[in-house]
Formats: sequence, C-alpha cells, structure tokens
Amino acid sequence: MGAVLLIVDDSRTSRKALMRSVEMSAYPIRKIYEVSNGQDAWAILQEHWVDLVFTDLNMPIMDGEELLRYIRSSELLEKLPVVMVSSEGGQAHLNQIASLEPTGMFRKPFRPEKVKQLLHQILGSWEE
Amino acid sequence: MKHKSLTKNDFAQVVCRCFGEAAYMMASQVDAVGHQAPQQHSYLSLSFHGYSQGELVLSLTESTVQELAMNTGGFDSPEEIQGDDLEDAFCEFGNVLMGHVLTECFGPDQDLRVGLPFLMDPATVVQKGLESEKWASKPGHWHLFLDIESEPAEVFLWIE
Repeated sequence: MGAVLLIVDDSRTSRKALMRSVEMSAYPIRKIYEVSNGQDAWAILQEHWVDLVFTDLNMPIMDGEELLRYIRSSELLEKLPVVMVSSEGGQAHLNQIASLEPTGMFRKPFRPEKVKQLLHQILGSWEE
Repeated sequence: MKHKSLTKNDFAQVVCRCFGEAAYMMASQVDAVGHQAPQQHSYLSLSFHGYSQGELVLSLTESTVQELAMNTGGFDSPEEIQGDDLEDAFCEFGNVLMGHVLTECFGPDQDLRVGLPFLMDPATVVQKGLESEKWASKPGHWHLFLDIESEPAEVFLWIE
C-alpha cells in the first residue's frame, strides 16, 4: 500500500529529480506515473486512481495551468490534490493561477526534506 | 532602473548558491582568467520579459554539464544518460538559476516570464560580443568567471 503520484514535467531530468526526492523522503509510495505534458497527464487521470499530482507550469501541448483547470472543472477530480511546480520565482504568475485553487506551490530545486514535508502535509501519514 | 542595485558579488553569491543547492556542486567566483574559445564550452541562453527584460547566458564545459546532469537527474552512472538528457539537464538548471537571479534582482512579486532556454552556437556567441572584454563594461551588464569543481565557467547577465 502507499500513495499513487502523477508527475508532469516536460524535463526528464526534472521528473527524475522529483522521483529521487520522493524516494529519499521514505514516504510510502505504491506507484508513480510520469508524463511530459498536461494532455498525457489528463489521459492518465481518466484511467487510473491518483492521490497527488505534481505538475510543472511551463510545458508544451498542455501546460500546468490548463491541466489544473481541467482537473478543477471535473466533478470526479475537482478535489484531487495538485501541486504546481515552478523554476521561476515570480509570485505574480503564481498569483494568477491561485483562483484555480492549487493545493500547493513548489519552487525548484527539489529537496527531499521539503518533498517529505509536503507529502505529509497534503496526504497525511500513510498507514501501511 | 527597475531592478535593485545588483553588485557583482550579489550576483556571484546567487549563482554559486544555486549550483550548490540545485546541482550539489561547489562553485566559487574567481578572477578573470585566460579566455577559452567558445568551442570548448556549451553556452545556454535564457531571456526574460514582463516587468523588465534581459538575458542570462551560462557557459559550462562539457564535463561540468555531464556532472550537472548526473547530480540533478539522479542518474547512477554516465551510461544511463540518454540522448537529450545533457541538454535537458542544462536547460532545467538554467531555468532554476534564472528564477533565483530574477528574485534577487526584482524580488518575488514582479510579473516576469522566462523564455525557453536554448543552446547558442559559437557564431552567436561571437555576434553577441560575449568574447569581448568590453562586454561587462556596458551599463546593466554583468560577467562572472567561476570555478565549478575545478572547471572554468562563465555567466553573463544583462538587464534592461
């Protein structure tokens, strides 16, 4: 048992970095899906149960903001925890998507202790 | 001038801190050393726009880019690094660095958007005058020489 995560980022390096941080956090994880754009993420969400989505903001095909918009518009998925991940420090940009009620915002680089804190904060302690 | 006064030392501290925190690499500012021909380095360019505009160029040796990819991508061995992974890691690190530099210059609240990073070819490096010692003497231009794990590196920044 454990949480199911979906990682959405067009950078393979970034996806691997987040997966490594999740692994180092020792938080119970059952499965991690990874995709490179919001469109593929949406397809995953139609087919599989996911407990938490980490999505980059700037991606081709469908960016993180649009993915969040899709999720919040869905009756089935509107409450799904979504963490927006960004390299940029611009709060103004992040403020613009605040109306879509992302569960959290995370600024790169990923650090295991911060990822662990975030997982516990959002998903709570996962009872095995 | 829309950005806060940025000293060369402030800029160097942000850059070195970013290499340490994001790439787990020791970086320090050094005095100008003998300039290396652009063919020996990879040059990454990122531009930004919005509240202000400008560009950052990061020049690293091939071995530094590989180590950066290994550290940031969590690869267990160089053999795991595929196709575009080196460029991907370089670009991704550039994004993180740009974000931190912009926060240092403008604070966290300004609307600034960073463009997609791309690798510059040597001709563009020359065209932009990045090889010129006079580049950093222009207003709003900064030029850093760095030592990153005993490898030379350079960072160029200009802000409108």
